Amino acid sequence: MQNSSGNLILEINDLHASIEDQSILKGVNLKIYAGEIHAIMGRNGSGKSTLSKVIAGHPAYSITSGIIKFNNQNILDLEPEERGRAGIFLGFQYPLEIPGVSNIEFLRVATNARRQALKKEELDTFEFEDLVHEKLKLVQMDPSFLERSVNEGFSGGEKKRNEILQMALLEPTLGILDETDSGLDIDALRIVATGVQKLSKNDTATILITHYQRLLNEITPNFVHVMVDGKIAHTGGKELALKLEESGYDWIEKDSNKSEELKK
Amino acid sequence: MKPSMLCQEWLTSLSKPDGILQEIQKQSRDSIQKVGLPSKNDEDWRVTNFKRLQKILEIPIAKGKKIDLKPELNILKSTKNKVWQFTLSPELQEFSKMELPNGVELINEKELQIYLGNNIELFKCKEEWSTLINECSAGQVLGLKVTGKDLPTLEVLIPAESNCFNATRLLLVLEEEAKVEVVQVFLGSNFSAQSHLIEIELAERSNFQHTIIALGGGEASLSAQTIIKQEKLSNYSLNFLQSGWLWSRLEPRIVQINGEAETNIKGLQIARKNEQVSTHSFVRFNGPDGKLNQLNKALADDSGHSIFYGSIQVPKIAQQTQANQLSRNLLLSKRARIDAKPQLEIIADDVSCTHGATVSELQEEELFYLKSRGIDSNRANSLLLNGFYQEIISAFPMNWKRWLFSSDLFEVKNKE
Repeated sequence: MQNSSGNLILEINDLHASIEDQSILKGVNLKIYAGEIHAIMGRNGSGKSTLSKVIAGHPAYSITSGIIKFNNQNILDLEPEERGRAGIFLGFQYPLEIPGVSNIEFLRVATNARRQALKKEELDTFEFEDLVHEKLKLVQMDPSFLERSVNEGFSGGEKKRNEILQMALLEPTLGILDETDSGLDIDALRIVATGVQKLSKNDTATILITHYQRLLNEITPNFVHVMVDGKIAHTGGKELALKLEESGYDWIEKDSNKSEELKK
Repeated sequence: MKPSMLCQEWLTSLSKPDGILQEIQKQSRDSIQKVGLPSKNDEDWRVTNFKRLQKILEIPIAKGKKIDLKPELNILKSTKNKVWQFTLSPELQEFSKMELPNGVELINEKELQIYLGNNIELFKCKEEWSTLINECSAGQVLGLKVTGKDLPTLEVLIPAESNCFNATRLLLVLEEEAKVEVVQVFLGSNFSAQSHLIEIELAERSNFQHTIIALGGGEASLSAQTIIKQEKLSNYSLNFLQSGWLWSRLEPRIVQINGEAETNIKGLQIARKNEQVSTHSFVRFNGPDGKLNQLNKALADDSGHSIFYGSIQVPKIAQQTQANQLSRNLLLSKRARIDAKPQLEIIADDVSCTHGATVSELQEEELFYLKSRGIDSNRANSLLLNGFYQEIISAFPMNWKRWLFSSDLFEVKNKE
């Protein structure tokens, strides 16, 4: 289903999640509308990656309370593949290497799964080759990477480009990019950022999880959120990212602690 | 029934010693009475399902009637230039009337007597059970000498007569600088048992690409022994698949008789349902500068049991040997079992040898990665399995999948 600009794509209410009895998300609230780009920042261990995995349906996490709605549908009961087909895409912080599985076969199977959900015709191998070669240009990736095993022996930058290539093929409604900028040199960062920008449309939304301001120089977010201890502690515009770059996270954590105490 | 009685009854059910193999039949029948069936005390047989082994001896001996192959199997007869196909079965065949491609000759009876049993003698495995049951029961042997280089692939179909015990034997001799690709396809059938023995002699600078595709079915059993003698500068590559057998045991035995040869072994074995599938490989370097690369992959699902014993012997004379052996195993069910035992015996002091074994499950993170791209659970599992097999099956002949009539090779059942 296509969203018209301004539709609510993702709604998270009071989300609590844990892994092996350890509570990680402690009440996340977030609303993302079509056409928006949100950046989520925060220290290591603040829950950013967990949030992205929970939205994508990683089986290791259990949701203890709260709700996630995607296109107004509760997705907590959906399997990861159902979420993927519905249009949620998670760009992995550490894309997995899968020896023996050809990249092009993987990309074709994934693309056809998504196309089926969109009620589009599946692509045969020849049609898919045409499509994938067109999308390769977006991330300036060498076609030889298609013939290799998924991510096997790829450099950090090549893996991230392969993630953006998947995003280009799957045309998700919601793209979540978990530290896509980490391990990229400045040229690769620019290529990835340009790719993401080109894929952002009026009817899609993007979440960028990052530690650094430098990605946000390339892609301007509408909102910047800071996560502290499993919650979104502060929300602002692009200027918030600049302030964090200058002053670090201490002031937000202090503010967050104060407001917690006031609540008590 | 006691194993000794069982052996006795089995022997009486065999036809009288006859033909070119009659002396061998006589000797081995005497031996098997003394040696009897293997037991838990034999290290190489310790984890074998002995009930199944005994069951093999209860299966009536094939009378040698003609086996009708499914028509699909004959597809390649029309592409004679690339593949020369023939069927080997207990049926008495007049080998002298066979049409052979240029560069392949039939070994006559007199010459056969020179070659037969040489490799068995080298390995001193004449009294091994796998050898004995074949020598007791095989009625004929096809001997071929390869003298050429530019040959079609020799495809040997070895189907089983249903509900019968089938014994077949082959001898292949490669002359200096000869080169050939041989594909052996074992096709089990309901309650059938197959015993196969192949001896291969590789002269200097010869090259032998060997593929074994062993597909069971129903309640079929297979014991296949391949005994290879490699001369200097020869190259032997074995790629194999064992799948769908209630009980199977493949025994590749390779000796580099004067070193300086190269051996490559890539095997894949799949044990599902209640199957027991095993590979027992023995590689011995009898001279310096030999090379071995061996990779054995196994998958055990349901209540399947996979066994891999890989023995490598590097005596003092075999200096500068380079031998690598790896056993990689995938365990897909709590009831499945994997026994992997790489065994390296090194006496020589200037060698480079490695060995190892890993057992793992399908990786949750890999599955999540694929699923997060919209790929459903079954497809994701089968992509990962295909990935696991790829290293082995990529070395198979291009059109090997035509043998897989009803195989569930790439399926993983949804686990709770």
